[in-house]
Amino acid sequence: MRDTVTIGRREWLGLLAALPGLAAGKTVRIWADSGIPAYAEALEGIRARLAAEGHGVTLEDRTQRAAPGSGSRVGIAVGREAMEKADTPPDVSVLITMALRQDVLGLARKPAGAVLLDMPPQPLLTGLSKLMRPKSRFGVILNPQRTSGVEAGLAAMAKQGSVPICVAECTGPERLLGAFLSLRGKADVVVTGPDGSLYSSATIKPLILASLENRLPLVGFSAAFVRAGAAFGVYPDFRDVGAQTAELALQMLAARKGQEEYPRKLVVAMNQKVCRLLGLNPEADPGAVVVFK
Amino acid sequence: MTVRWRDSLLTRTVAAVFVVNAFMLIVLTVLALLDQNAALDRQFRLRAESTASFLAAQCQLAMLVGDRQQLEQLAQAAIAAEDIVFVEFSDKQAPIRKQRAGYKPGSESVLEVTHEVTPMRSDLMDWEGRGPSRGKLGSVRLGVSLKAQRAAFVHTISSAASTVFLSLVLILIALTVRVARHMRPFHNLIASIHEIGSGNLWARAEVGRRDEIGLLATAFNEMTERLGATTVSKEYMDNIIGSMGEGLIVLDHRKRVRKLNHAAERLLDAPAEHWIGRPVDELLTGGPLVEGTGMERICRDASSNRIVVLVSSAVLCEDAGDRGGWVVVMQDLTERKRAEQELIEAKDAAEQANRARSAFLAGVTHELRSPLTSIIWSSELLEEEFVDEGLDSHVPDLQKIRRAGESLLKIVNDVLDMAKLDAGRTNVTREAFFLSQVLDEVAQMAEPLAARNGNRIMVENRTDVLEMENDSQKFRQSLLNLVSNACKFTQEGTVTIVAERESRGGADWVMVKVADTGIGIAPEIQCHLFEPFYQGDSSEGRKYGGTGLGLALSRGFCRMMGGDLSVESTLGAGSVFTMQIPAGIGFK
Repeated sequence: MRDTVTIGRREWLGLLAALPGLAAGKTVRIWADSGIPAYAEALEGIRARLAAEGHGVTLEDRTQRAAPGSGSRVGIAVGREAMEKADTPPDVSVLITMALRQDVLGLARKPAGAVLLDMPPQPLLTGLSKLMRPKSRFGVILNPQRTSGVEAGLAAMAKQGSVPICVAECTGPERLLGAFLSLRGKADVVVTGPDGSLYSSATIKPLILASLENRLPLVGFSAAFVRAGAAFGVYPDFRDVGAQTAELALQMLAARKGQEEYPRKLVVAMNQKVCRLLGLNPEADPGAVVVFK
Repeated sequence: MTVRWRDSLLTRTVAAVFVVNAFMLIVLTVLALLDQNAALDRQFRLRAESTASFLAAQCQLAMLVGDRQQLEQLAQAAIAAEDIVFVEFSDKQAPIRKQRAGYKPGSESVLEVTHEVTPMRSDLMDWEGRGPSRGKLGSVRLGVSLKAQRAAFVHTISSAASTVFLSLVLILIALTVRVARHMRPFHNLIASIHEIGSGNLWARAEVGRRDEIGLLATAFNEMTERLGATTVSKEYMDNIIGSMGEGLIVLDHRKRVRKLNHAAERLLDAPAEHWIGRPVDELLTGGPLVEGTGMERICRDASSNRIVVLVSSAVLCEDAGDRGGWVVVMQDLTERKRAEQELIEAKDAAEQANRARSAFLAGVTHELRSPLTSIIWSSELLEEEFVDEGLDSHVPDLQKIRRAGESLLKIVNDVLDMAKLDAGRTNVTREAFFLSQVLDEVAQMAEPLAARNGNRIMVENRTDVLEMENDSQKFRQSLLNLVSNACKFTQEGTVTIVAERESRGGADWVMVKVADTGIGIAPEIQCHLFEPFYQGDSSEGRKYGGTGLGLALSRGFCRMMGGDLSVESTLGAGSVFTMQIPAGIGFK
């Protein structure tokens, strides 16, 4: 976390491109943490989209007090912490992006709209099916305390019986390894959802080791997870999330009501080395967008 | 004279500089040690905290999943380290503590470090910030023994102390050598001062440096130079006194002998120790000791021999002006007295011999005059008889005999007069005579001689008196000698006799000048002109004849008459002889 905002050349070019919008008073204020690559990608998508529509962007650090009378009616909080800590004026409609639904539920001020990172289960399964052999069995580790998220969606699909998914419940990190191992022989690949209470640097290592030892590939929920040892990864395209957020903001500027949206575009990645260790043939998997060698 | 080492400037300088250096060195060493100790503390604490942090990271998962066995293994592994004495993991359950065997709390200095174990934020969420972790899993408490650190510090202190001690010894040696080198000119200066103090005012200090010591040596040399120019040393004075030929005695205020020089020791025939302390009356008699010079006294030596001495004495004044004593200089007159006696005896003998010679000459000349007179008279008588008898052919021979006799008689008379004059047997017979008459007689007597050389005699009496009183014979003879000489050395010239009157000192003088126009007299001859038998040039003497007694007799006669005879002459132009004769009773 940094207290100052670093604006690069591209940001400045974007701001210059938004000058006509500034003159017209069509400015969208954005609160965001700097220094986080995912946020930078999202911001890039936001700016590009807004600039295409002739709107300006006022980028502010989330800890700064908003300038009075700036004329913005819509603001974007990038990330949960920006939403929590930014001093957003009450007359400004704030929509949140780059956050999980679980996190948004706990916020004191409810956003006027949101573009959440919770991936819809079906597109995820579609993406994974391109990587896996046909009729592969999916396993999912579910934290019962979480009622939303991709794992919850998959669990719901498993209850409906539409898709062969084996669910292993895990209430805490101490049970994570056990839950994972319980899926041995029941699933060909284990899908994880973005749950900070279960997955951390401390818990990931034994989980990866167990994945390798039991030849049970893990599907991570971020690029970092894939780099850490997950065989595959499926996660949102953050730039597109930004563009999606910008479009939602434009709708709100057009006096339409904000809504809750989910990622339209997912990124499928694989760790080539881990796949090789697991005996998979990653070269035969044309669906992978990002390949970690 | 030596300086005690405690008072030595070298010791004090070395001590002062050494103390300052030692103080600085020790203070700097202590500061460095304190700084190093603090650095060691920091490093040790940092290491302990790093260890605790490492353990916290290691036990994170175990605490997260409640793996007690893993925690115990970690604790056991931790205390295997040399300086970790205990490890304690605390979580929500009971704490796990492991400690080194034999360790008792409080038995040794232990640094305790506690580190919290927090759940790691998931860095797997690319879209989340890196904020602080929430919650606490437990803590790690670590005890690290300070024994090794203390031992390392003690080792450092001992090394530093050894280094400081060695450095101080080296500094002391270097300081001593360096300061001693700087002090060397002082020793040279002191040696020079001692030498000058012992009397050698020519001794000089070696300069050789341009610093303050060099300046001091230069100033000292300049001072010595000035001192030497204004002061004489005791040795110098002793040399002077010792080299004196005269005896020197120094008396105290009671006139007792205080000091003698070598000459006095020789004179008194005893070393100084024999005389020191004795009253002066024991060695000097013949009169009281008073200030003055040239006093004859009788000195008695150690053998009581009497020695005639010439004494000069003076009072010595001390600084306050009081009479501090006497200084007496004695000159041995023995040799001088003996010489004087010999001179007197020689003089008497010479006078006696002279008288005998004069008597002999007088006797001889008297004996010569009688036959010469007989010859002259006899030749005159024969000449008259031959003329009367008509034997004129024999007359010239008789005339030659007579002239030779007269010439010989004159020589004899001159020798006789000279002898009488030397013997003091010539008396002055004062009588009144007419000056003009004497002048004319002399001119007349010299006329034949003047005529022989074609000269003319002129007489000029410028006095206004008739008579004077003195020895007329000696006056006449002296004047005749002068006129005869003038006629003899003048050819075809003039001989002028001028008499003048002159008053000097309340008396009347007759100045008779005989001037000629003859050959003149060379200046180198004039000073010997009045010596007996002196003739300026032997060839001249043979040419003009004469015995060389005329001028000597004339001056002798003039001086007997109370006057004198002098000459002024120019070679080739003539001469002027002047007789200065007292007029006697005065002119009438």
